[in-house]
Amino acid sequence: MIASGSLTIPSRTTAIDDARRWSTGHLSAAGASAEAVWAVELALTEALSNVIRHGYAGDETQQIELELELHDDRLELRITDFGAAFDEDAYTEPDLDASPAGGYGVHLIGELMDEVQRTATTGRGTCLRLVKRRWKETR
Amino acid sequence: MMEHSVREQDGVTVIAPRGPIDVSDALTLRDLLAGPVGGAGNRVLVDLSEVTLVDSSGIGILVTAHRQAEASGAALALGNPVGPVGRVFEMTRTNKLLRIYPTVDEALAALRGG
Repeated sequence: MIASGSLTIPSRTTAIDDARRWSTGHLSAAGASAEAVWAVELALTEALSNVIRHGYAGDETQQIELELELHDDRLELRITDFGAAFDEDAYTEPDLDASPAGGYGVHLIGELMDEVQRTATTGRGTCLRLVKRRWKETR
Repeated sequence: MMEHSVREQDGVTVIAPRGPIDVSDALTLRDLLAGPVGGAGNRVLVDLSEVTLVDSSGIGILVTAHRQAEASGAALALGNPVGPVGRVFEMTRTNKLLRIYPTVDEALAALRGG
């Protein structure tokens, strides 16, 4: 592993900016491409927004745990919360041809990342695992 | 944290956010746009030159504002999405709905031309 880091943030939308700065700091220091930095920033933003608005239903007193691992062949970002689990069965992809006024978050995460895995464990919350390969700047 | 400025230029209301537009700022953008896009004949430009990120909340606000402008007889255009900001509109296909121009000058010209 090249580098790793962790951060716990409160479940407030104003903390998303702090999370982006944290991820960008790690990625930039490790030589990530601008594309990878942006992709992680946006995927992280969407994931945290979903947790805060849906998982915690706007309760700003909760916490969200972030872990980032940078490997030669991939980066891995894990986002753990202890709110209501994401309902996979109830989720439907947005109809992009109809240009809806919302509902793009999960779609964007899937477009930005190479792997998206969600694991809910009783007593240990829900962990969203995001993987992106080819994240380094190529010279 | 998004900052912004608003100016009038050649009969166009130019709203210029700066920084990321995400869920924590989307309502500010909605409120900035609500008045201008609600008046018949109004011309409104969102200058994206200094916007570093637009998330799904920001996209939703812009889609809603576009539809409000159409309903009220106003015109809304976006100008100069820099780097990856433009890609979000492509990834959500909202670039097919919204009037997005590569530069602010082109967006202003399009709005002045109707």
